[in-house]
Amino acid sequence: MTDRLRLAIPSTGALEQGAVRLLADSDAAVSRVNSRRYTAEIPAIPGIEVIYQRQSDITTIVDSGNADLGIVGLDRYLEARLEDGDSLVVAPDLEYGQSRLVIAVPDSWLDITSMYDLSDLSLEFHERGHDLRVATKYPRLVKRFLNLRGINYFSMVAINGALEAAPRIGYADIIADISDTGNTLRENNLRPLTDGVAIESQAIMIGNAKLLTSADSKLKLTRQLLERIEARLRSRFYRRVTANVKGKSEGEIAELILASPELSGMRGPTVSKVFTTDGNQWFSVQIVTRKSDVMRVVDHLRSLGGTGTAVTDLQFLYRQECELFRSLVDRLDQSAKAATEC
Amino acid sequence: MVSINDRNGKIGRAPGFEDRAGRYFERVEALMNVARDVLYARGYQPIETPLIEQTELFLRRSGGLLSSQLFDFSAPDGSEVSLRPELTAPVVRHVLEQPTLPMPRRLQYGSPIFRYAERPYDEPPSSVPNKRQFIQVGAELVGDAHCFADGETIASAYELGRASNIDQVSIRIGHVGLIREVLGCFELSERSRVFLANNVTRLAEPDGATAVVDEAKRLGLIPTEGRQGSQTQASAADLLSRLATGSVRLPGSSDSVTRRAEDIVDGLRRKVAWDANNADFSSALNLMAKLAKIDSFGVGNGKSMRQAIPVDAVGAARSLLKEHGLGELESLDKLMSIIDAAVSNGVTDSDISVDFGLSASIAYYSGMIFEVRGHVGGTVKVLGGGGRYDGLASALGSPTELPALGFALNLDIIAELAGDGFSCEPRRQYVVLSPTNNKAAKEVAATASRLRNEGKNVVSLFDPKYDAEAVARTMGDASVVKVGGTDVEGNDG
Repeated sequence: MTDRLRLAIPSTGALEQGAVRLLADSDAAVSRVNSRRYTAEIPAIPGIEVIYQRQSDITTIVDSGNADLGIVGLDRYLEARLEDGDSLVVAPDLEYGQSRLVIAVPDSWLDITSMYDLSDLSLEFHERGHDLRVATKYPRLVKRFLNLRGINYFSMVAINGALEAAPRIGYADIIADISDTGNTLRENNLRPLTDGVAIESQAIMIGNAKLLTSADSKLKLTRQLLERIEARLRSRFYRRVTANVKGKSEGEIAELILASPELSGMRGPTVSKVFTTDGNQWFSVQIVTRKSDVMRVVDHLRSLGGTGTAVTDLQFLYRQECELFRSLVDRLDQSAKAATEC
Repeated sequence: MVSINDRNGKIGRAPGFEDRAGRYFERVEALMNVARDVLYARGYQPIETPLIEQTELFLRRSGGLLSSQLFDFSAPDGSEVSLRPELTAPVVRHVLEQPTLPMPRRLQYGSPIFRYAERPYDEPPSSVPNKRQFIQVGAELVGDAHCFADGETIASAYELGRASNIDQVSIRIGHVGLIREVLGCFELSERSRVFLANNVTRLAEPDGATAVVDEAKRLGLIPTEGRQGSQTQASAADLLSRLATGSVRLPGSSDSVTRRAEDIVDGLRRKVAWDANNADFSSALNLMAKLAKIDSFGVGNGKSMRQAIPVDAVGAARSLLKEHGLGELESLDKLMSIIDAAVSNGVTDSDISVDFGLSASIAYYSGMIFEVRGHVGGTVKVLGGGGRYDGLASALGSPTELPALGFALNLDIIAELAGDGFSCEPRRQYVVLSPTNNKAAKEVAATASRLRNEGKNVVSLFDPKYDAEAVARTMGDASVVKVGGTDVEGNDG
């Protein structure tokens, strides 16, 4: 068994672009010799091998132990995961690839707007001797969703190509497909049902529990990767505000800022002396704050005489420990414990 | 699907399925015998239905949850079949296939059932996935509408639990029929009735009513602010009038080839009519929220279970319904009669409680429903339940209404609660014959034959390399006898 960590990422589409961008933004850029080659490296973390795979295969590849980690859509994972497989979710939201699996009906079906309507219609179809036909690439998720909404009489039509044409051509009555904006559905005279969202999805990272615990090196590499990704994702929610404030001492400035604790940063402000030529006492103040609070912090600093205020993005924001890695280790321990007890 | 659990290709069990062996197997068998005796004593005859049935059997009236848990597949001839997820529908099918036999029919079973339940994806992989095979023991009484039949069914389930080495067994009774009768007093669409009946348990929870109202709004069952009717229904009325004036036309039928314009207009008309008949939704929901919270425990303001009095709960429900202008409801009187009948049939009255927030996971129940709970030490587990399902037979093709009721308990849970203390049949005593050399196999066989003729149970080992003592330990108190040459030596010869 190799000590290298194998990371499977989608080979095409928005999920591939998002994965490559996320890794690059996380200082773990993928170095691929050319686009025809299906393996690559992450030079910043030696020991990780990247393999490009079809998104629909990534869950199986991780489940079967041919990759340690994988980046995949939650929808694809839930559709394809093996119930007794060794996969688990390592990062539940990589903050890209958002989409919804929706039930959509032909636009001309003005009377069908909700799942209740569809339930009635499926019974009507059944009484007439045929079942409602649903075209989808997600039979497992869609079947469960329809059953739980009280729709029992339907048949699945497996299609690998463009689903949207199925009702018009006549080999399905309705479709269940991924929709980001709804534009493709509209352009094909289809309409999602108001309560017809089978699942909300986004890109996630999955891992193979057995492989990850098979060598210390794999967990070390996983931690390095997760540290960067988590710090990068977290940093998107924060900004650094820097301003110059006139005052008598660092302590006095800090006290004024801390009078509004909610605007004084994660732990508190950093205040340091500015050496000036005009003889005035100036201090540089730095505050790391939530993106949503930036203007309030700027106004607060202004009210204290702050000037030259600069707001900058953060590249990474690390906490005392990597929460994703801690959660992963805890769940790996639970798995191992359950396996021992069995 | 068969799983391959390790990289060497060793094949493991399919997830969620267990082997039953050793003492556990014996305990389950013994409990099965206890159940059989309890039910034989009440006239229930055994039946074993097929493991595989047509899927349709479980779709007609069972409801969404059960259908989502079916192990369904296409048979080689293309027909749609399922492993049975329960035994009530197969038993009723069986009864309907024998229309000449006199009613009522009493049938009992003790058989495995199969339900597919997925491990939530955010749980770590473990070697213990959700169980998918269970043994159900139960009984069905088909053709009897008397409330004493309800009482006897509850008592049978209660007695079965008590005969299984469980410290205490309690019964919690609800009434699906009462819920329907109450909802029938309001001007409601069928869809709203089903929605409210399905959400009874949620309404009983703290803040449950708020969640149910939110969902009703989302589904267009409650008018939202600023609209006369719900969004979808108002749209339906609006669309119909605009279709009539010609200001809107049905979209081209080219986007669907399966429905005609007339079907769609008919559908819109039905929705408009439905909206007009849904005026009482909010008041029905408010009453249901109050009714669902009534149970024997709440009524007594913190009474312990031993002090809980079902009649208090029924009285509280009666008062509540009166306050809301609903007179005497037949189901409420029936519920009291059923409780009396259960007590007359041997259920200790302090072991019965009433819970109007109780709902059934299977949709075919039509009247009284009940849950059986087992208490061992501080542990309380639901052993199973049952109830009356008068509409199932006609849904399965009976030309006439056929009253019916029954119950099923999960024998795996009973076995777990009963523990090792449950007195199984005494284990068989074995003699393990072990050869002292490689040439003694023939002698082992002959000795085994002789001992079996003497009425002993014998395990023969034909090769001295096997550890006879270890084998004997797996057979309980087995004794080991060495066989070699012409000698037979051992600790009990």
